[in-house]
Amino acid sequence: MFLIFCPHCREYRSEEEFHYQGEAHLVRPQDPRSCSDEEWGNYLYFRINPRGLHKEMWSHSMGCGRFFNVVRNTETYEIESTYLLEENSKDQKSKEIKSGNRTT
Amino acid sequence: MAIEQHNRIPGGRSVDYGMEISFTFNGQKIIGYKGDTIASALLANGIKVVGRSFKYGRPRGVMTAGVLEPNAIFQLDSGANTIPNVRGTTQEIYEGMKCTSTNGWPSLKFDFMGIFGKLLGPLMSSGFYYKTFMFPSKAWRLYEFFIRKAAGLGISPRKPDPDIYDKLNHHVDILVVGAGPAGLSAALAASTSGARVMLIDEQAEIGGSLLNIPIGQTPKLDAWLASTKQIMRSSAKLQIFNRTTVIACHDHNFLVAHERCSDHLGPASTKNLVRQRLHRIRAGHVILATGAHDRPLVYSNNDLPGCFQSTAIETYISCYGVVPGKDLVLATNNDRAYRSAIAWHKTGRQVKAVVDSRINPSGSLVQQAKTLGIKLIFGAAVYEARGKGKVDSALIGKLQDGSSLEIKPLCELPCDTIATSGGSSPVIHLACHTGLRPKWNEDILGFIASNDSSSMSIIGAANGDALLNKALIEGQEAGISIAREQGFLFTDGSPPSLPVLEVNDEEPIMPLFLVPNLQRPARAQKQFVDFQLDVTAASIHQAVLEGFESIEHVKRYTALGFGTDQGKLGNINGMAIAAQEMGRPISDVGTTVFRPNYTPVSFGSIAGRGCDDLFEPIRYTALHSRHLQQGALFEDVGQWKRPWYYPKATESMSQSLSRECISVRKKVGILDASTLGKIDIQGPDAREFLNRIYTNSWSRLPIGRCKYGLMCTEDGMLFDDGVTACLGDNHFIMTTTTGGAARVLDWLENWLQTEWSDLRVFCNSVTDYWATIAISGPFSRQLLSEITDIELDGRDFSFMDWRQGSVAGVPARIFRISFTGELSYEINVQADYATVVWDALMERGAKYDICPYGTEAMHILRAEKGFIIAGQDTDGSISPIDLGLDWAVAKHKPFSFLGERGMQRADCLGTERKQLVGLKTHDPEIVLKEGSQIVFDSKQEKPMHMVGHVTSSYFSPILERSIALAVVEGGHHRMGEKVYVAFAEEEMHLAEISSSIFYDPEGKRQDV
Amino acid sequence: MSNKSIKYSVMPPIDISVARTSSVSMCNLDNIPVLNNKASVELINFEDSGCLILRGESTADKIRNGRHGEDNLESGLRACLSIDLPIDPLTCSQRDDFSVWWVGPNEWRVIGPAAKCKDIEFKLRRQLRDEFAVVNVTGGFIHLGLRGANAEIVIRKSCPYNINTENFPIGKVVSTRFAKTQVILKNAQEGFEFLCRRSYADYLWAWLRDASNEFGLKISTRK
Repeated sequence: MFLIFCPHCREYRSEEEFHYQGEAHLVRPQDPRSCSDEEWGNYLYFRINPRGLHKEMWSHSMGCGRFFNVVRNTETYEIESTYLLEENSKDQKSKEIKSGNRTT
Repeated sequence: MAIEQHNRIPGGRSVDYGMEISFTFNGQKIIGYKGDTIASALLANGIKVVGRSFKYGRPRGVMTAGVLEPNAIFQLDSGANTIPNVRGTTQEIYEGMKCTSTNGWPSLKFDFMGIFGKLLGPLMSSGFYYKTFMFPSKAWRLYEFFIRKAAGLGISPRKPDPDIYDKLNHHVDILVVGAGPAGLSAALAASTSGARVMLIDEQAEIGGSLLNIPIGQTPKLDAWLASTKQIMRSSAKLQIFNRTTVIACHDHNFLVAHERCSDHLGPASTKNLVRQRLHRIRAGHVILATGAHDRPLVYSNNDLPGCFQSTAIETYISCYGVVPGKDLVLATNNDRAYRSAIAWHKTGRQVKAVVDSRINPSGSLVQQAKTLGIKLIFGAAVYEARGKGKVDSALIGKLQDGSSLEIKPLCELPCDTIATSGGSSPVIHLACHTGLRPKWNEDILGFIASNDSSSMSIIGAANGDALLNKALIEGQEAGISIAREQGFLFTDGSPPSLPVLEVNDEEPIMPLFLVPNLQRPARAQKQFVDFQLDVTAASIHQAVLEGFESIEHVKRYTALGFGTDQGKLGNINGMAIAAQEMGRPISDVGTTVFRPNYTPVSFGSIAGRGCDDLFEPIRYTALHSRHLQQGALFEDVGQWKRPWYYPKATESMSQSLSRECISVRKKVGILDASTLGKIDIQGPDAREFLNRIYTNSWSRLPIGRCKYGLMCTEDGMLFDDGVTACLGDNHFIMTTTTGGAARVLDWLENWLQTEWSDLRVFCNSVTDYWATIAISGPFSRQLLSEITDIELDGRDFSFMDWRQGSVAGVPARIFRISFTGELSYEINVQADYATVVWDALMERGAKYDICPYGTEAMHILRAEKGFIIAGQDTDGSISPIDLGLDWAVAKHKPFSFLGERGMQRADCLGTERKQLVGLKTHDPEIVLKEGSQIVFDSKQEKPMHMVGHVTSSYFSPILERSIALAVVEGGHHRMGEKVYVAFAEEEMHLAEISSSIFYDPEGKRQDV
Repeated sequence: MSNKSIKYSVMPPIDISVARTSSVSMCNLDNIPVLNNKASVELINFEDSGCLILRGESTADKIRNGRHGEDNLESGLRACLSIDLPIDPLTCSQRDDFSVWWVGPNEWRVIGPAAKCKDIEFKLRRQLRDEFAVVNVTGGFIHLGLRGANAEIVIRKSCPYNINTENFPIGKVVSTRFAKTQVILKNAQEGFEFLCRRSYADYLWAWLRDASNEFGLKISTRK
């Protein structure tokens, strides 16, 4: 069971407080009406499924109720970092993990 | 008549010689001492046969002294307290315990399977069941009866479990698994650092392999163990759990441990005490000091009672003061096993010989044995045990290197005990639970987990190094460095010093797993690998011969490791034998996957407190007491208990429903609608937000009005619906379906937090704050007018308006909305005052024959009006257009609302999609079954073309006929057409497609 | 328009002479083995607690997100309750009989006597308009306390959150899973307090009763 750093509560919490919300950084097309069926289908249904690092969105549903992003290794299940939705994952290098106190 | 303990000697570390305990084994009274396991007590009393084997029905005895035990598997006690498949080598005895053998139907002494197995034994090879009982296929039931009867392990209790189980969460800095020398030393060192340390051990007392050293043999060690126990007891930050097994190691250092709190006391003394507890532990760092399991050699008839794993001999002598026989032959390929021969010798009983496969070993233990005068035979092995129902002698042969290792008979030694050691296998299960694959190590001839995790360490014998003094030092070093890494700096103490011990010289182990026989395994007397499931060397050879190459397949074909011991005793031997037969190195063949749980866990402890009423939260509305008073039967809606219907004394369900429905249509009914989800939406952009979330337009909804809205997912399919009211320019209250409340709030938050973070909107669940009482029916206005200050006249308070005022003295919001098609008011008050309002309505309503109605009547009433229930009439593949709700989908909203683009997909625009319609059966008495499939032509060939299904179906009391809602291909343009609804094979009902609105199609009744 | 919206948005105060319904609807309180002398767990029902949800951005967040509005959450709260807004995650502030618990970065709970909550709701709405939300959920939540020598173990039986003192000091507030529901848990001076949704009250009550049974449970009601 994962131990996930909530960037809003700024501490580690157990996976059972969270909900997985799918791939991160999905953007709704600016003008859905001008999308072709295929473009809309891609937005709706197609998701990456990488082996290795995966950026995904989680919500702290049983905690602060906020959404945030996680970089997780799908092979080892290690969590590389977590970051706020408005942050670009490139800007921060697992800073929350390092600054946060491990909950022990 | 109890039998005396003639195998008992003084000095057992774990037993209390002053406290006799009596129990029964297969009805026979047995006396043991407090601290004895079932196995040690049986051995003390000279009982050799404890069960019959699974497949061949061979007599079996105790082989080990721990969790590896394959044979001593028992059924404890009876009735509700009975426990199946208890390992006799770990279960402590308690007064009055009733212990019976698990295998051995119909009896231990005369065993049907024993004969069956003997006759058919040669035929029962790998895949026997797959191959033999296939034909004729109809006979399987007969076969199955006998196979299950004969083969089954324990019997599950048939009565509810009377015991209490519990779970406890822990967060520790350092978790040490195993309280042997390495683990004790690590925990002791770490606990002086100020870190929170937890030490867990599966045995009744801490010490691990130290307990195998006879007391007094190494006084320094005894003293260290005593002082360590004392320090640990007084340490505030160290928690020790005995009789607790870490059963699983999950991601991110989350471990689960199973504590047997009162199993050693028995059911009588544990009333109101927790029987077993599951510990859920999150650890900063995990130190695995799980030790190693001694591995027996594989030879012919190695399952005869009297054959032991070598360390078991040490344990029985040193811990329990039990010597399980008179004369011992020990066979080994390594130095360490000599300890059991030396211990045996020191009890005064005879060691016939130590048979060492190595040519000329000279390590210090070998020297010691020689000095004691024990007969040593080198370059040889025990290749067969002889005896009838027990060991009578051992056949010893000289090992010779030819093209492969061969054996040449040397002598036959009479003895009643044969102990063997083929080396030790590090206990790496936990390290491998998260996916790590272990590596074969040629030096120790065992798999070790090459762990590179920064938050887990493996130390001592578990890591391949079984030397005692090294384990102590390694443990201390690990304890210190890991505590430091965790940020604990030993400011208040330092680790106590370790005893200085003499170091034994050891010589390398020789690879030997299956001892060569004079004949090939297929012809030789059986050489067992997995004792619990009767897997032999021959069956592994056969699996390889039949072409199984992956060890995972060999395992499944032969059932190697499928018993309750999960292959702890036999798997490594099995893999080595398979590898040898395949002509590949063991490192190449590898192991099967280690999965949780390490040892079997009772269902009770998995469930914990989460059973019966606590299995799942039950949510009640503030009016629950009133429903009970009215005699309601309840329906589960999500986690809620909702009144289903309110039968009067002798009423049937349909009579009750009829009365409830007619009351609403003709007089007035009252419904608790509190479970509907309610979301308070505030903020300057609230209106824009609703425009985006709902399919219809909210731009012009004035304060004081309500509107029905549809919510779609991005694929254009209906997801939830409900009425939302405008409370203020920036303030709305949204209602959702009962089951959809949490999902809708999550959906709203998802969009607000991700895509539309520029919108200034706050959503808050207020479901629990408001109690909602709906009154519905022609007299609802008259009734309400008696207890409210709100003007109810239809011109002032029209359909789809809401007003604020007081009802029965309680501030209330009243929504004039209707889910029944009748004149209705939904009264919302703070939940604390719900009963006041309900009581007032019931009292004043008596003169109108007010009738509480439940969810079932509500469903009938809404179906008469063709109102859908999202999730019942829809299933995620139905769009608003399919439902005929085009009027609730805006065409020209500036922002492309959720679902708009999805509805425009080519596929969604077709006219032959499944569309919501009404169905009227030809026979008005027949109520269609919900979920029934629909066809156009009942005479067509099978498989028929199914064109839809029934989504809702009821008998309508007011229409005095059945009605149904259904989705049918192209249904909207098939009004009046005939369809057939299938109930079961050969049973078709004729029905006509109709409008989904069966009653009051103009909607006059609700708008008066 | 805004005056009208306030009129409609806020429910008037309740005449406290009207009988209230207990939030725990099913549990028969007489049924509990009360071992007053031996009880090492005490479960307290703070019957008269009221609760407001307060939503909005703190001034710092507002500036960071480039939003400009005149209203100010911190000063609004100070004006109504003389309490400083707890801005740091998982903290709370207290003044007299009111406390404010952090729940999320734009969400707080204001806990105080139910009878006063209505008034505070009005005041807060007057202070904080458009960009904030105030929702009175008095009666929608139950406010419980758990005290006594074994209260900690009962919490650990129920809740995966790390309540070791170094991680959960006095004054800390966390929203977390509790048995199979959700609570907001606070380490108060005299033991633990939590808030839970009303409809789960019976479940939580039954759970706590069961989990405390081995220690002896005493139940009391506080105003």
